[in-house]
Amino acid sequence: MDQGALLEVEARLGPEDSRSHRSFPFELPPGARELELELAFEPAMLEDEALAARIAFEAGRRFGIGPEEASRRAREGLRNLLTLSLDGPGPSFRGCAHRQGPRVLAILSAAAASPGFLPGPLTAGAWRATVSVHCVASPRCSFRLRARAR
Amino acid sequence: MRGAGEGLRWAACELHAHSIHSDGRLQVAELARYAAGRGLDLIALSDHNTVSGLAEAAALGGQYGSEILSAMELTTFYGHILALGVQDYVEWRGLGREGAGGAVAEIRSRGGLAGIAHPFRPGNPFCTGCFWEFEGFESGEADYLELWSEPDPHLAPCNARAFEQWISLLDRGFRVAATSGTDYHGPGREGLCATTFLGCEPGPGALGAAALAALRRGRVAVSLGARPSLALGRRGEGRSYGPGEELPPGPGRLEARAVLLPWRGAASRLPELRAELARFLWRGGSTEAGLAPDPEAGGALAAQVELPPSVEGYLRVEFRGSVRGEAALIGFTNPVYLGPA
Ligand SMILES: [Zn+2]
Ligand SMILES: [Zn+2]
Repeated sequence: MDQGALLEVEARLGPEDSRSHRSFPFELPPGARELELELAFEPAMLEDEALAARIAFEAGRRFGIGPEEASRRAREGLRNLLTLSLDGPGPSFRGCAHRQGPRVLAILSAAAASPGFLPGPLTAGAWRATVSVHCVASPRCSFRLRARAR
Repeated sequence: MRGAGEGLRWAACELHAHSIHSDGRLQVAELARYAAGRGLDLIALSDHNTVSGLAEAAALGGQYGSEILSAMELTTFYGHILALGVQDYVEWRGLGREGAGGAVAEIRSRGGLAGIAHPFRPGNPFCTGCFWEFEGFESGEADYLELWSEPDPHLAPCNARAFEQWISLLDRGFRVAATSGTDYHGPGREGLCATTFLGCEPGPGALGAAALAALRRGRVAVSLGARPSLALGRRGEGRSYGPGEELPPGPGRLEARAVLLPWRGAASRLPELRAELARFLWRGGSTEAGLAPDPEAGGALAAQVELPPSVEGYLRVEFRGSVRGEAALIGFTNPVYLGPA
């Protein structure tokens, strides 16, 4: 890990990991002025169109939507959704990025924070980053999570 | 017939909206301006699983003409729970399929109200966790159900399903409120947005607190256009009762009056909407009457009916007409309840 790096993990997920959390503790040293987290995953969505159509059809039956509507939704794309949340010592909730897209960058300091996150003291001690796997639609999805202090 | 809801201030509300703090496209201040543009008194900032927009919302106060109600949408794996009125983060990450009851209790212990958002919107992999799949929890135990979700809510089959569920809960004796929520994420979606009207006690306090109290008591009406009202009383008795109130037993014949009242946010929708009749519904029965201009209130449409003695459980009203030429439900009130729960 490079200088200032607090955490660096990679993991592989599949559809069976949908609706689960991966939690990663890390230690923040005293004196940090800024904490940066980055979550990146790929692929962003299920790219196999035939498989997407099949999955959408099956899901559509469960939710009471017809085949036409299901195939329209499949064409829009079935996206993977992984969200990142952060807890400081206490534990105290320090925010969450819940939005579409395969990359999240969160920067926190005493006075400011990226949207979704709460500014405040960067207390030294046990922190925890959590990846919430809302949905993996693709057969495989890998993510990389990094935390660093400045 | 006068009396029902008299003295209440009916606040026009949007109870479900997102900002850039989750997956919305507007800044918090832009959201407040948007709400003012719709003529709303109040908009709930209910970002997914975070409360980081609430400090800015509080600092804004009502400076754009609309107040922001603090909230969070617990965007769980098994359903989306709206926590209205909470100031701080509500933990959801430990919730399993049986966890809704605990989350609802936690929200209430913080002084908030727990609503089930868009209960039948298709879930994974279309909209993650959107479909209500919690087990061991009766929906009627929530504080409210979001019956009408997204723009043009009268057209969505999943909203019709939520409506049916609400009626079945009412028929079984639950007193659970029903609202709308646009689930606003920013500009770009066409369609009429419904408004939830909450009957707030007048007073010097913040509107948000009065709105929460109104929703808790079921003083609620929902509409695509004009504001629905309902008054239920007995002939020869002095007062009448509105949504959320309870009519005590008595000998007099039941009379009900339904009115659609103009409000500032409805003017732009007039060309799209036509109100024709009011349908009065109770457990196991209904009757209807055509709407006509109300001689007592300029611009309002009213219908009055006498009700049979067989009315039981509750009385609510649906306003029917058309939207862009297609027959539609255009608004509804929450029930007036009859007799003890
Ligand atoms: Zn939702
Ligand atoms: Zn939402």
